[in-house]
Amino acid sequence: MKKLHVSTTVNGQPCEYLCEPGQVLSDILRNELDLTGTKEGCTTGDCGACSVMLDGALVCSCLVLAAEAEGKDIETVEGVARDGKLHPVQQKLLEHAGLQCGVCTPGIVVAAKALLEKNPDPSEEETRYWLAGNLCRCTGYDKIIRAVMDAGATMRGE
Amino acid sequence: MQRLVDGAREAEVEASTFPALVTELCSRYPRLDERTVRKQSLAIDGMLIHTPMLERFREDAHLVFVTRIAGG
Amino acid sequence: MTSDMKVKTKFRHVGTSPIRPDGLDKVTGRAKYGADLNLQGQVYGHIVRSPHAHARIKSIDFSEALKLPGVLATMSAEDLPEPGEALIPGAEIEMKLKNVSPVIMARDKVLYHSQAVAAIAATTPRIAAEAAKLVKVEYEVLPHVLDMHAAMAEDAPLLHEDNFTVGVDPAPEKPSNIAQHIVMPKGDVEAGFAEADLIIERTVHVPMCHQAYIEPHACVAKSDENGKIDLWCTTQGPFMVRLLTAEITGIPQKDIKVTASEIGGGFGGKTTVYIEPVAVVLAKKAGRPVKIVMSREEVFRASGPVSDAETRVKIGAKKDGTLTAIKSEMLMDTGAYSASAMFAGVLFGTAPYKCDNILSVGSEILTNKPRVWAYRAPGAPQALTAVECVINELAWELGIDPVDFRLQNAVEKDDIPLYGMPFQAVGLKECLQAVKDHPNYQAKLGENQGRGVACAFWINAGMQSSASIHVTPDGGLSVMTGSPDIGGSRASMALMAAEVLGVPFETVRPAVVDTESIGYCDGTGGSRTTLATGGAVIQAAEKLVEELRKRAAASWQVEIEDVVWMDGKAVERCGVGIDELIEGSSPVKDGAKVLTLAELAAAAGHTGGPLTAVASLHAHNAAPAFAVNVCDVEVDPETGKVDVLRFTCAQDAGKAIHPAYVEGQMQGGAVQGIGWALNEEYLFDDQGVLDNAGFLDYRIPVASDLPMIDTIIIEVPNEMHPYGVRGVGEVPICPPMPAVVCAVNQAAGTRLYDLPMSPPKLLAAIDGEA
Repeated sequence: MKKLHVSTTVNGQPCEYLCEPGQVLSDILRNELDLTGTKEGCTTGDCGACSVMLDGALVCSCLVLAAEAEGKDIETVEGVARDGKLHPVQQKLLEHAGLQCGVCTPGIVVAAKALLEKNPDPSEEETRYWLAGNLCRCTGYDKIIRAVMDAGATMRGE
Repeated sequence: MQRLVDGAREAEVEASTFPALVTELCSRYPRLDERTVRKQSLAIDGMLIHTPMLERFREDAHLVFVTRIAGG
Repeated sequence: MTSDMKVKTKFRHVGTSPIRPDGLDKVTGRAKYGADLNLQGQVYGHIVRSPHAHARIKSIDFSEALKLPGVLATMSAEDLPEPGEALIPGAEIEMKLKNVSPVIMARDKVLYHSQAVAAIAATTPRIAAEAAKLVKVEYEVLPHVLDMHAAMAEDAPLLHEDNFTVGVDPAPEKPSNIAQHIVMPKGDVEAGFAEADLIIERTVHVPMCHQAYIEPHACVAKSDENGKIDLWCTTQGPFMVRLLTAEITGIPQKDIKVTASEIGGGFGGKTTVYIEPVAVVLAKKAGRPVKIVMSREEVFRASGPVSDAETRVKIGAKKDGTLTAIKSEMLMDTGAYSASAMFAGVLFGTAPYKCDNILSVGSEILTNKPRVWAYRAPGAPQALTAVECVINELAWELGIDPVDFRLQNAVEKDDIPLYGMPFQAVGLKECLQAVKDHPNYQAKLGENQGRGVACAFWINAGMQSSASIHVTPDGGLSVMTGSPDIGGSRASMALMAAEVLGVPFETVRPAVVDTESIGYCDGTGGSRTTLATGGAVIQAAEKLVEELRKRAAASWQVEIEDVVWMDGKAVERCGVGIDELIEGSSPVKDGAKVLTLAELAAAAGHTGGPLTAVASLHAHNAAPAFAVNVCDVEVDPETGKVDVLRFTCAQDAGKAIHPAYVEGQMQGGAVQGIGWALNEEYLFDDQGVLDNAGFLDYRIPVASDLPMIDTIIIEVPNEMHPYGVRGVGEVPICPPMPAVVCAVNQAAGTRLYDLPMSPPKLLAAIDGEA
């Protein structure tokens, strides 16, 4: 099967790859670009571990065809910490022990960052509903929700 | 194991080592075999030994056989 | 380890919650999990699975598959040694190879839908999947049985012609689908019931569910020209993977090296193997590294779900609340091969209560469903749920507060549970009192709201662990163990090493290393890692302190007894007592010589060579954990939907080494139990095909389903552990199910004991009451 040539931007850098027409973005990120921070927990869009930003929209990269990313801007968990500094969401997840096994964490980081960019002061309920697409089996979500809300407070300068 | 010792729940046994204990129990309860005894964990005065083999017992030691249980 | 052991109570590091040492890699996506490794020249394995729930395999024909370009190797049970009657030596509990090997590759018969029958290795995952479809397996379809009761019928289809029930007298002459039977009596239940003023009997059904770890099983196997195997995989126990892979493939353990990746959840589900032996065989045959990653669907259909259980519990009590007798009869489904935790259910279901008369019996039933496996405190949640539901009803009927009723009957030191080992100090009453005093228990309930309380017990494991410590030339410490870090255990290891050595937490770099780099370690499971692997770390650190004192003594040309180790430094005693110095009651003498860890490390080459210490142990000092949950719910009488309003967990941790991660265990277990009570269940069609093999239809709790989960850590020290540790990982999943069930029944005015309490079922129960 002939591969397709795709030009994108990944975490701010221009990036080109070849993909099969049926190949999904999470597969290319993980297995072609070696960005394995994006996890695959289901490949059916139910667990959120593969969350990335595509042109500023939060998506499950297992539901996006790699070819659809042509000309688009992809941000993965690897691009969240900048200049050797953690994003407040990452820092607060660590401080609140908001991860146990850590496999859902990259998806939570990407999704929570997107939430706080859209809504800098979310309520607990808003945070819970925004993250309802990110499954975590270890923590019971308590410490994740606290961490994300605390990160919001930090970003608001509180 | 209890089934093979005719329902006995407790027994006084003279044995200072685990092998001696096994021998003594198996001779006292003919239906009991060494493999069945060795399949159990053994609690010695509150210490649960998962796979007893070389344990020694003090006089008046309180021993309890506990079915070996797997964790998750 | 004697009963007069002194349990340390004053700590510098233990009991604090620093950021975990592996945290940065996990929040930035750098941490490597099972599926994150790709090797040069790697090819991909794909497993062919049975379309039938019960069938004889007549032939397997790979010829069409092999014609597909890119296909490099095939395998089936033919490539594995015949298991015969062999036992697996060194397994945690006795396991027959013939009950394990067919889960990896079916032999002669398939006994559940999606059981592995063959495998393909090909250059891309897509070619491997395509080739798998071309493998022709000829089956003779046999009648199947899915329901436990149907499986026990005289004329039921037989799964194993050689299964004669173990544990009945006289031994049966005919094979059946009852794998094992156990009777555990204590006292005289009939006499106990005769004394009772009130007897309540209920049947409680807990459904088959799944651990639902977010990371699917994944591995990469490499075989070199000498047949040495290098295996990378996600697992709770790399040494367990080595053992099982060796037994299943016939390759000696000494030729297998296993490296555990970071692990994306396990909860017991990763204490065995599914794909690793397949990858190893394919790698050998293909001459290329082979990667296998299970799909989520495969995880649901063909890993080890959790037994459904039906437990009939009858409890008698006097008017004053004294329990007089408990009878529990449990049926536990083990799926296609004997592997259930029925014994734990039978032994531990009654453990929270003082009661002289107990009869607990259990039967393990074989059905044409996937072979079950461990899930957090395996066997206990099903049994405790049944007992707790009846206890709650007794309290209601007797008009006694459910916490007071439990306080009155709760076990304490020297009580003897059914399993026979007298309790040392335990914290059940403390947990009950803490819950009673918590605002959750005082909160006012509104219309359609209810409150449930439940107690729980888990025995906790010790087992074998090793640890090794190396000192860098500038005084850094690397602490190595073989226990995969599933929920923050590196942080606990570092805290304990820092505690013994008196150095800052950040000085310690904890690592989880492969099976060739450390002595044997049993898996991360059984709530044992902090206790046993932590125990090995403490011992290794103590040995290192001895060595450091020796080196300082040599430098100063004094006796080792003249050197005390305090605050990360060797200090010359100058006649002051060691205890006085350490406790600070006497100051260090003026002019006493001091050498820091860094100074001793820098000079190590001159004083005897590199500074290292190793410890290995078989921990016999585990102590049981008790927990109590209270849960408030609101039921929508129109739809049957349940909202959890408040949830509080109290648990006796013995000593919480890293309290935030202990709370995390409690909260995570609570939510798993909530999911099991309200939503989660395996739904099979009549052909034995799982209908909900994905996260959309097998719905685990999501963030918006839940409130915050309050935690109360109780610390009644384990007298046998130097720091008082008990083990915390498993008991949290035991009390939430009954707490939720009782809360829902109170809110809805129902007596629904058929879980999960999904909206349609609850609505039907509400309508039935009306």
